[in-house]
Amino acid sequence: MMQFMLLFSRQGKLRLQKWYVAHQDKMKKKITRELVTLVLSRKPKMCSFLEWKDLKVVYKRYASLYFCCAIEHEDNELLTLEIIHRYVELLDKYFGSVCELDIIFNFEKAYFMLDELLLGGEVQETSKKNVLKAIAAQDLLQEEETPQGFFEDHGLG
Amino acid sequence: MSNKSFSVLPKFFGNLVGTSPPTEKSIEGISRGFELFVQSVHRAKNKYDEQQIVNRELQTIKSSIGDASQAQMRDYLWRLVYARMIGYDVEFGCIEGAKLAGRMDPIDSKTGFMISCLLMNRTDEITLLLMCTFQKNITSSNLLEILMGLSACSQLTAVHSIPYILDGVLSNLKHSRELVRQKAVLCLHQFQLLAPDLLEHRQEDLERMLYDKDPGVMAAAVHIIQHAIERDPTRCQRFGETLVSILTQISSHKMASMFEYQSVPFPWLQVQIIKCLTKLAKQDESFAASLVPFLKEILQRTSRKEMIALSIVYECLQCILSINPPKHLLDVAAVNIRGFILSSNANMKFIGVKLLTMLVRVNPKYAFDYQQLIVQSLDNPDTNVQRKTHKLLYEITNETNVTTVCAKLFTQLQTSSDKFWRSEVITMVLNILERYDGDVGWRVERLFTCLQLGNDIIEDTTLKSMMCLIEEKFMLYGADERRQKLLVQKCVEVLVNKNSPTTSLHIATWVLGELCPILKNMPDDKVISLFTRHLGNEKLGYSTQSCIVTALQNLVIKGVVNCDNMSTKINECLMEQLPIVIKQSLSVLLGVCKYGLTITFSGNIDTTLTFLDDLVTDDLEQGGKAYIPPHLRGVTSEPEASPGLFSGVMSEPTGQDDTYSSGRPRTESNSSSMKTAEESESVLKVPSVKRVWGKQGRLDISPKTNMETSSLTTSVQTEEEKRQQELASALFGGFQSTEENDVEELSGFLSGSSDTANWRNLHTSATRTNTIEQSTEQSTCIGQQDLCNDKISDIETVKNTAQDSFTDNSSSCDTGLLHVDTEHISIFSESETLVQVEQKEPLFGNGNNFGENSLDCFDIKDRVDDKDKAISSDNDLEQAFSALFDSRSNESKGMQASGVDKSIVQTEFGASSEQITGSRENTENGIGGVDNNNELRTNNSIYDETW
Repeated sequence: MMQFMLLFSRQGKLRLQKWYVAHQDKMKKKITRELVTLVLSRKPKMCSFLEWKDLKVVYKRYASLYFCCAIEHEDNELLTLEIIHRYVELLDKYFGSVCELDIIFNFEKAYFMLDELLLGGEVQETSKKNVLKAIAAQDLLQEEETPQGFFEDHGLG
Repeated sequence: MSNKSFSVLPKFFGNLVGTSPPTEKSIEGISRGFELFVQSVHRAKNKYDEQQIVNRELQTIKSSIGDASQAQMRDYLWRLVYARMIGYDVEFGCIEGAKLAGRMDPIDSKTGFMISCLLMNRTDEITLLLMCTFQKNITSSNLLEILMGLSACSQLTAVHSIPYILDGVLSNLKHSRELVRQKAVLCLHQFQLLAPDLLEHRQEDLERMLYDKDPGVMAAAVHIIQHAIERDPTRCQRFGETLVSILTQISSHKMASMFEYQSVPFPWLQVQIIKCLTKLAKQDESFAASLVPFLKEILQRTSRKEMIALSIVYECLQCILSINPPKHLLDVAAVNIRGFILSSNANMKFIGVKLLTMLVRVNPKYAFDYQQLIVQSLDNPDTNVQRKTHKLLYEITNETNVTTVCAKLFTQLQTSSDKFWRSEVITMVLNILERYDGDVGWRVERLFTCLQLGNDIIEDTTLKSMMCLIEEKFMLYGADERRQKLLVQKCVEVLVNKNSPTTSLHIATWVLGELCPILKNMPDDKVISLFTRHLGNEKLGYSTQSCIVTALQNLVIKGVVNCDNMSTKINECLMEQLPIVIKQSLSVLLGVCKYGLTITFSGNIDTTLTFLDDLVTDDLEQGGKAYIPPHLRGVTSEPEASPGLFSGVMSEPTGQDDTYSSGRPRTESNSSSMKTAEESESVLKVPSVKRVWGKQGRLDISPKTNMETSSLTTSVQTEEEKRQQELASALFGGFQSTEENDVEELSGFLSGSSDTANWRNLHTSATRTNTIEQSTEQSTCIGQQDLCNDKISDIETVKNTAQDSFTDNSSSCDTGLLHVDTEHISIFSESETLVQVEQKEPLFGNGNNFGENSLDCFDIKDRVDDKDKAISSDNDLEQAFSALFDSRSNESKGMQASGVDKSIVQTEFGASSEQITGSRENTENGIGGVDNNNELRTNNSIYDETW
């Protein structure tokens, strides 16, 4: 099960955080700080897996953004790397071509998408189309359409 | 990798300066106010500026959030989430989020849930406010509301409030929409993780979801099954077949293409199912066996092109390596792992090393092919890879390289600053010290180095296991006095040293307390002050202080020191500032000194317990059952049965009682004995190789030979390479490869083949004999004398046998023989304290003679060498040899019960020498011998476990 996911920039600024286990705020800050320093200190050619305390950390850098997940000991690292990739793909598809600013200024969308992809730290929906459909439904809602009608149109209702 | 989107990403990510890039659709972003806020935070020059900006913003929000419109409210709350992300306290927003979630408008409600999830923890009390909203949502008729409700409640429900919404969630399992069912299952899975027993009564309903017609729901249900398997694998055997059939369907592309990712079908589910199967197979041998062809098929069928497919292969390999696979599957796995290791991708390489660690745990000889890589990885700039490689080293430890591996691990202990890693290293070192009987002095030294380096992180449990180790190796009845002296010497050294760390002091005082009779020759006040000088040390914890007091008690009780001297010292101590409990025990001790209460340890122990005879006969007359010794009851007999007699004499320090000596896990020793069995098998396969490696490490002669060979073969070699090669040789000395060319390349590094194997057999049988003797415990001194004579004659036999079997080895063989011979003797003397030095002497003499003899046999060697070349397959010969050796030792096992140790050894040697000639002739049909060997090896390992 995934413990948490962090997105941060090359400068170490946090862009997104999602925790699947309950920690106190202080603890979260501490973990984030330690992990960000650790990941940023790694050289580009090094592998994306870290054993950190009793967790495994999987990170990947896309341009200036680091996507970093902490998983439990028996989880599959390679698979987690693909979850990150899938998430980036989703963001990319949704924003057209995603950049860091998209995530800064639309971070609620990024959260919505993450929520559709993972539930409680487990992958729930792996079909890219379905996730995007769900988000599109949300967008339409925002434009004050009747939700039920839309869902029926898109085969979800 | 077939990820085109990957490669185009950076181009777009790069466009970061300036305004937001043009996007295809118009997305409603954040409000102008929010944008300004974000930008001003961005522009803040320092932390103080940022604080000012954010606090000002938070103040504004706080004051105006009460009467904001819906859209404004959402905007404000997102600003709070942002502020929270950059590290500010926004607790006041939680309640607003909860309020928003309760609104009727779906977008408000969705945002409210989202924000609540981001701002609150499951454990916060404020989540109670959301309960009502959850209840309303999950029973709603609106699909969207249900989905939102399920998502949010799986994240925010506290353990004690699960019952309020459980019914609603459960009813959604029967919902007509698959999306709802899927979310409901995942939500219940979360609840299960929080409160495992809560859903016990509905377990069947949950498990039925595995058979749902929608693949998405089924995938979610696998989480439930996995959880059930983790809790109780025996109850879940019935899922094995279902899971296998699901996996077969997936991997043969029977699922809708919608579930494919990078053209690999349902990879997440595949991995999950393999994980479940692994856990099931660990419990059920027959199921594991049935998985073998299936796993092989998956490995074959899964492509290697996509990244995601590799994760399936990785999981599959992990599964294979944990189910005790047959040889052919192991070979397939090894080939796949090779692919990972040799990959140029750092990630794959890391996974490869990880898998190799698992592989060598199953069979250490696979490490041999990668020695260069392993040695290089030890100095990898990536500490993560370094650590993995050190774990690998730990797995390939054997008698030969134990010193080198330990040295490497200690370097890690010194250089690393990561607490977790260091404590892991300490555990590894302790395991190694426990498993391998090296030189005693070396081991004591390592133990205390370990204590010193790990002083800050060693916990009580580690300390206890360390005491267990010491007790088992040094203190049990019959332990070698020479070993004890070495240990005591070291402990005294530690106590004298002012800078000794706490943990070392703790162990040292405890050891000296137990073994204080050895200190008898030291002057009294020196002995006493050895302990008392540390009493006042404020750094010491209570447990160490009480250890010191216990040691002092031991000194008095065992009569090591004069009572008057002790009283004066204690009176001095009582003047000092000490914890009241310590003072109390000291004054008790003072009383003991006053009356001179000691226990005289006569040394003549009535091992047959004659004083109980009357009692026993009385009981038998009244119809009581006769006592049957444990080893005759068909139960595993503990060789340490005897110390029970002395448990009263050996007092333990407070809190550390006798139990852990018997309660310690036996698995380690089992695995090590398995390992030796494995090694002896691998050892057999390489013919005609120089013997350079003795059992206890490199023979004295070897470094030179090493250097020579390496400098001859590769004339131009950098210092670095040389160093690495040396390390490799030190590490892989004990491993052999079956490939002939490999052997030639590294001829200097390999230990001999047949000699080690044969000697190990002899060695094992010899040790076995000793164990039997020990357990019978009735052998008198005369018996011992006889036995010793037998051994001398055995050595003669060995000589003859060995001359035959060693002749195909090269010049260094004589040293090797001599070396092993001495060790052979040392084992005798270790396990039998009664066979004393005077008996060792003639044996050593024999050993020397033996060496000379084997020098004589060079001419024979040449002859046999020629003969050997004629023989087609050397491997078969070697295997046949060992099979015959094993069969002999197994046969003799039966006789051992009746105590005929003499005949065992002799039959064994006699038979073996006979068989050597026999098997030379029979090498052509050596296959029979190989089969025999396999079968017998299992027998042997079973036998190994019992003692």
